[in-house]
Amino acid sequence: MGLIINLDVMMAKRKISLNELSAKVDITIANLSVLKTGKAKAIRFSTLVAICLALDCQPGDILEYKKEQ
Amino acid sequence: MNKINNTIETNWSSKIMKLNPVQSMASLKNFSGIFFIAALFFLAAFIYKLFAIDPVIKHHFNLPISEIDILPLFTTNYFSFISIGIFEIFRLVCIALLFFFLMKFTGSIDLSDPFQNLQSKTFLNKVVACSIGFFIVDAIGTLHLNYVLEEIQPDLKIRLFHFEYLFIVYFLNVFAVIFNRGVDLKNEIDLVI
Repeated sequence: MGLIINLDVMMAKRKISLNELSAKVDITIANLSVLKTGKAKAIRFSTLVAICLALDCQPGDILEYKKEQ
Repeated sequence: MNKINNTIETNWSSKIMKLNPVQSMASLKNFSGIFFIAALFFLAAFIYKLFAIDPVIKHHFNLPISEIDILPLFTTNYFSFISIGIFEIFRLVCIALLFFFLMKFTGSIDLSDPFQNLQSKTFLNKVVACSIGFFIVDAIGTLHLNYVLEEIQPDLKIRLFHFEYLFIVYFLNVFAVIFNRGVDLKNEIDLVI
């Protein structure tokens, strides 16, 4: 798809674990794991807002577009 | 008296209305062992009769599906006799496989959430593949049988293509496409975070 999820990078920068983020964002660990590994098909705006709020970052810090070769 | 009759009729009709065809088909899988053993006996008896060397054993040799007596071929054209017999075995195996996968499919469907089970999708694909295989084997077998029948019973002609099978294949295929799309959609929805 060309879209890279940098959630693990932001989590490492903010020194926050998956459990903590799950509790803050109110999403199951399984779903966060799906999102982190890039297996998710889509992300809701509400989820994105909640993650940005929890990690104190912009959507562009989590999502990155790279041209496919 | 009329009231009692009405109550009985209502009870019966409500029971019939409550019967779920998928559930009743799924319950058949409890008897699948008996069906399987009976089919094996039937197949073994047919294979024994087909390859028995002594023609006395075969007073008549009716094909199980086509119901045509091909015993005259035993002495005149032994190769055709065996080849038609083997085709008939293939047809029996195809029908058995079709029935087996259909039962597995109906057994694996969860009525509360039919598109949840990926196993059902696999079984349905197998049912479709088996029905297409059955149609092809049946057409080739009947073509050969028609050719050989000119020797023994020239007036008897068998329909070459059994379009009812093709219709079943088409119907199953449409159902499989809808079902597979349903399973894919469900998976996609599950992956929206």
